Amino acid sequence: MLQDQVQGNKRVQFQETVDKHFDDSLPLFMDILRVPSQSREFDPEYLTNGLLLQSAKLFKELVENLKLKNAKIELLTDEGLSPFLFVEVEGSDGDTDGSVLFYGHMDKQPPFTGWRDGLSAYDPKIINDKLYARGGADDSYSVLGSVIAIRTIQDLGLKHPRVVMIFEADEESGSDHIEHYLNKLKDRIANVDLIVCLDSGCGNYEQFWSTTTLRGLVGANVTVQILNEGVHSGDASGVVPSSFRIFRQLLNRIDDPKTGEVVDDFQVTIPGERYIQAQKTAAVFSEGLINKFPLHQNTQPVSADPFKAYINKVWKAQLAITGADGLPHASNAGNVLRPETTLKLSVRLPPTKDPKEAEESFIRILTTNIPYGATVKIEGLNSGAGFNALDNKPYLDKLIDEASNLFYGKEAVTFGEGGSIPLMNTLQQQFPQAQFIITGVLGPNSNEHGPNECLDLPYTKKLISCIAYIVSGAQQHLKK
Amino acid sequence: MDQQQGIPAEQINQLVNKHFDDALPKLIEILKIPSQSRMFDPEYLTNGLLLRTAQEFRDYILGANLKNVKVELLEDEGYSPFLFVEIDGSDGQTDGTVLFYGHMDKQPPFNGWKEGLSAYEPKIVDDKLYARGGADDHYSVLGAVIAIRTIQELGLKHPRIVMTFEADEESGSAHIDHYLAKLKEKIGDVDLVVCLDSGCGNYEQLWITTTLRGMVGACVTVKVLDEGVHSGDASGVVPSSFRIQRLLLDRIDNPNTGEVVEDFQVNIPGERYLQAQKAAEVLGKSTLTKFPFHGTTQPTTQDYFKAYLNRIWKAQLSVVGAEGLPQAKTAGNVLRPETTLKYSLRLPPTKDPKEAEAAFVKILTTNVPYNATVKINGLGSGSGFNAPINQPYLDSLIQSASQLFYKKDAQTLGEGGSIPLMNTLKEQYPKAQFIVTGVLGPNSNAHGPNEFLHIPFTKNLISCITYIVTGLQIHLKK
Repeated sequence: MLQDQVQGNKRVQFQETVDKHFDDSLPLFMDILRVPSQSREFDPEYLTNGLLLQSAKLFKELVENLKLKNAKIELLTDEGLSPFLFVEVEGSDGDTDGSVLFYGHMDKQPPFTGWRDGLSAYDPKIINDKLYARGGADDSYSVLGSVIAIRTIQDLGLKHPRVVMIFEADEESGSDHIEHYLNKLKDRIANVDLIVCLDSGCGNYEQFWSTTTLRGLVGANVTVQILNEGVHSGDASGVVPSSFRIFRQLLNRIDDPKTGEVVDDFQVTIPGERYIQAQKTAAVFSEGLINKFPLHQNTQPVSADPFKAYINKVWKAQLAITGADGLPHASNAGNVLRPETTLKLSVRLPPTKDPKEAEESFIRILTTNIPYGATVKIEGLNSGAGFNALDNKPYLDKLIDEASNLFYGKEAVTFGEGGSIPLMNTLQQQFPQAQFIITGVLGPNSNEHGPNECLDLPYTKKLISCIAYIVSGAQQHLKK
Repeated sequence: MDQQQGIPAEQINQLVNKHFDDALPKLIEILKIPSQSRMFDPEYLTNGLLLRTAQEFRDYILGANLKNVKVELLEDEGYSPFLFVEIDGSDGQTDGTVLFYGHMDKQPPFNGWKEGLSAYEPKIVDDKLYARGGADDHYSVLGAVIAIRTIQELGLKHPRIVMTFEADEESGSAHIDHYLAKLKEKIGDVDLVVCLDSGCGNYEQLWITTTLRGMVGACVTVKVLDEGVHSGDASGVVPSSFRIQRLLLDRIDNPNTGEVVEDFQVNIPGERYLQAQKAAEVLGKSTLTKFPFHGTTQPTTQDYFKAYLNRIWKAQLSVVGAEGLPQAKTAGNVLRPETTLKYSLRLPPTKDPKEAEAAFVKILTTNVPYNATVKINGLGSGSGFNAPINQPYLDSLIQSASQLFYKKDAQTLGEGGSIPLMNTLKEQYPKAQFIVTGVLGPNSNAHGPNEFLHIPFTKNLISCITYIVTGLQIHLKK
């Protein structure tokens, strides 16, 4: 009873402090969400229109307003690169403290289309405790969360390790700039013992979720050109091969259209322990894994088996066509045999697939023995590594589980993500001894990248309490 | 030039040239109007461009000094405009009737016009008039009018003439039935149809089109989600709408060969097969080389007879448009809720278009992979055309005309494109003979950029028409 009371008090203390700071910061946070910035890949003017910089400055203000003790806050705006926010907080025990690195990103996906009535990408609204706006859940809350966690620890008179926070603004475009900044700040960051990444997902809003694997990605804009100019389709079809048909042949070299199974060049053998974990996690998710998606009418998923579905999204390669050029709007397309077709190919890769090998395979497959001698151009080829976490030390797993039980009343769960955070692999290589806590708020219907993206406010606040609890608890273990 | 049957070929030639040159400025004015056919322009009835085009054509005809002519511009509510011309035959009541057909509407401008050229700024370069709609099909009004005017001015005879110029051909000729029904009595009986909207194999002889392909098409949407979702999260669980489209397309044609399924094919009639072999000989390699292939791209076959049959007697699938796919350079990693593709399927000349429509719908909506939703919008079809066999006098006139004005034999042609109306007219006037011809020759590029009208060829064609129409007056008598 006493233990429960102590725990209960602890919970209340953390939660009340977190809630207060969160609610105080909300107006400025919503202003940040109103800025219609887009990440570099979607906005050729991203350096000149000033929107990304505007967001970064507001983020800096947000951090400063939270008045962390012994903190240095710096906004870097190096020439030709997206902005970068860097925060350093001295550890409670000074020189003997180890370091925790917090990561999140300030840049956003494009607004997309199909937002429900009354909702939109850049006009944040709170409905039923959910904050709807582009970039709220992915990933603006991370700045708020990281700083509130440390401020809460400080307010409660608890200890925390040395903290560095790195918030980049190029994640949605592949994190091309972060290496430059990490290099520049190498000495100031120094050694890192624990990395807390706040850009991942959660299986539900009822417990703490740790991501242990992430998929990689390889993609490009691929163009098949057959003519120098469009011609009358009555005149030419049957003699001039269709660029779209050639594309169908090329895509058949990457995946089987009947099953969606991608060729072996992009697959791996699933490590045994991950396979076992996957079965456990799939059981926790069960049909929710499939039901979470807004399938239209009678559309069936690729597999009704939750375990197969889970493996498909966590350990298998998958091809998606995300965009196109050279195809006029269907409503006013004339009968022209078009000179070329461009499709944007996006291949998700298994966590342990080497992205450079994948790039080579991608090019080789699409440019060798091209049907009819057509011209294939590959532009904007890019790739990002997946991620496969090392095992945590027992004290850390214990802290994570305690936090989940304290603030959510349920145990913590690990899972693999279908998405990518290419940076995690970079950090793993740079800090090979570091442990990882990869978590986030991208849960059911959070719909990042699509319309109606939302941030679950109660879940987020509890998550911040968890982080505060864990980081404070880890301080004594991270000492040099 | 010789005089055959008392018809002064040299005088025809000179007069046709003169009338064409005189009409050129007016034609150029009309080509400047940026009108588009109904299917490409939702405002086609309200922006007044199509109407202005029709009015300019009417004014041209009125100014052409035709004798015993009635010109009427019909603008029925909710329809594209329609130009109707009637000219009494030289022998009045005993004359048979020739119907001229052409269209006044245009394709969209497209893009990729060469430097200095554009869709709505007509320019003549090397005897070619570059502009959208010149060859397809504005010259037809001039051609029909100049032919009759020339006959009249030379004091020769001609049958009764009716001219029907519609303004909906590029959208499938959906309005012409209405107007033909309305004008049924005035048109009366028709003995010969002269259609000036087809092609030619080269610019060196007279080409008569004997077959045209049909068409069936629609916008096909595959929908899997109510809204887009993160592709990392969903791919592997939610089936891709694009992949499902690939499977649907595979039900229509084989991606490796382009061969369309049997549901849309026919057996090629023996005489047409034979004519096709002759035509393929004359056309030679040009069947393969006429297209602006990029880089090392090869045609579907090196055999030019096979290639010719592919384009005139085989069904062929093209994907001409799409929706639901963001522009490649700004597309995010989204598993999109739906993919729409515009399917355009050419049909063999003798394929029943309604059967083809039914097959199209059945194939795409039965057993849809993953039970995804398939919506078919804007389903439309047009019949192909297989011309009746000509009477010997007509063939003789055609051959003579080609010899006189081109110094070469006339040649039959199968067209890869469609003029759905021809079948409508064949059904309406089952006894009529057909002369289907035109100026859409190598690189004329109708529908694409850099469309041009070959002026010398067009003048010779008009001379041929003039010669033939006057020559057959005596044969068409009631």
